[in-house]
Amino acid sequence: MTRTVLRLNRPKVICEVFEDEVVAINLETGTYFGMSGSAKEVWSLIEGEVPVNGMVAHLALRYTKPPQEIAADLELFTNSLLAHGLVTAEQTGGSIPAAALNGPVGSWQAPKLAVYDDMQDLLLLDPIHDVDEAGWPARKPDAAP
Amino acid sequence: MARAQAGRSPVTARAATPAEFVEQAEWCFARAAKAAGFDQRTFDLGGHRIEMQFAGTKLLDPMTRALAHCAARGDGPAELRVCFFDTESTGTAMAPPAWSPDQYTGSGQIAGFCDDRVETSYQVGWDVFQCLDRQRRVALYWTPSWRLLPWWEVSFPLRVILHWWLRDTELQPVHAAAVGNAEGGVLIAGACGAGKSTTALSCLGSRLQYAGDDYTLARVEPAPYVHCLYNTAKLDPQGLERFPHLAASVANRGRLDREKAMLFLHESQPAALIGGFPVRAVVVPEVTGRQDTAVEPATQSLTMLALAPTTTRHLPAARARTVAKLIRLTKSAGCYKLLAGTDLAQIPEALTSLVERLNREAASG
Repeated sequence: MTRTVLRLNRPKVICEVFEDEVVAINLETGTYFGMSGSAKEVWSLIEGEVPVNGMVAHLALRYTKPPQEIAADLELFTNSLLAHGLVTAEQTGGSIPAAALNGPVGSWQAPKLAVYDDMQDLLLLDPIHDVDEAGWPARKPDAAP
Repeated sequence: MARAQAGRSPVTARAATPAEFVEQAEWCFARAAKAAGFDQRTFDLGGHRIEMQFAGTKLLDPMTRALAHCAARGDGPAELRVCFFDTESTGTAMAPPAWSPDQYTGSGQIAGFCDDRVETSYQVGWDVFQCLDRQRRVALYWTPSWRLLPWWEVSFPLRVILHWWLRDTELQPVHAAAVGNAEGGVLIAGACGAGKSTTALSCLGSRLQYAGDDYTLARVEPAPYVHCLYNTAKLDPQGLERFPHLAASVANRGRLDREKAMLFLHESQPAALIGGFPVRAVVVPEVTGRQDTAVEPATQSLTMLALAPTTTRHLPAARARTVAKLIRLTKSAGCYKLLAGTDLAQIPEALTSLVERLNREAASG
């Protein structure tokens, strides 16, 4: 029986779990992502290859929030991870892993993904059209400091 | 003497490989040195001896003034030779680019024309070309005209080449200020405009010494340490108003309509500089608008997001390795927020108190 799991989009994306949040970096674009709220717990389920449709059951054991509310938050969050290319959805077989979360019951906080995309100005918005005789970019007169 | 001899030209065709291009560029440098004269300076940067060679005189002062406090003492072989020249003052052309215009990227890296041995970068708009051949331990820095050199290049020479050269070491140029004393101190992280310079310069005259306000050289292992890489300080006009006593030391007073005020503290306040210290914490400044200043713990993720994006944004290539170093640095140092108030005198007091407490804790194990 196959199931859908989310996997870190390696090697394009790297991810680090800090004591409070998860930080991911898209190495190709230089965009950074901070994951807050209960994202760290969700991330541990992703790393544990818990199927997407099984995550709510795991989280409901840990949090007092109604499962349907956790499911709604989770859908938003995982869709956001997919939309930003931080994870890929893959089909896999084998047995479903045991519960990946430990610790006492906690307070569920909707996982959030913050995008730090000020790196976008690295994109070369003005392609080089003019070059000198040797082939080096011709400096625009108004570009002089 | 320039080690590359301006003999038979290797520039007979466009280079086929990055390494071949570096050879061509080095030959052009040797030719420029023959035409305009040769000079060199050697610096000890974080324990790495770097020899800077110049064809002509126009780039020598701009590229060495910020490093003057690191002038090498004694003899000894340099591990890397960096050759600087410009075409206008030497009358010597650079080898023709062996890539197409669509290979230029916003980060400066020349896509598809670098490999594990050779790095290449061209900053479009700044007109600065840099390359490094790790195997031959030579780097080149070229610009069409010394007159067009961006003013900020003077404040952090070698930044990109050092980033490349130190890729496989525990050292990393980081976009962070640093203040402390011989026992230890703090990195001050944040994007441009976050308050790094104001925070660092407010400590001049306090019990904390200055190790940089923009780029510093951090060592990640075995324990975090920071080297004072540049003795410069940069201030925008508002910043200069906050420190009127520094106005007399501004080196570029005639160009403040288009440049930040730049100071070379090695010249104006040498006693304020410190060569380096153990990093006890990374501090993220936050300008509150309130009068008083306070320090409070910060999360590791906030600290990482203050330190890493801005550093990897400025430095082309090796992003994964850079991020890995910054993660280790963040996880091994303390993390604090500096809630910076408008009473500037409170900033050094708050930081001194933090640094001295962290140093005591470190000393007591």
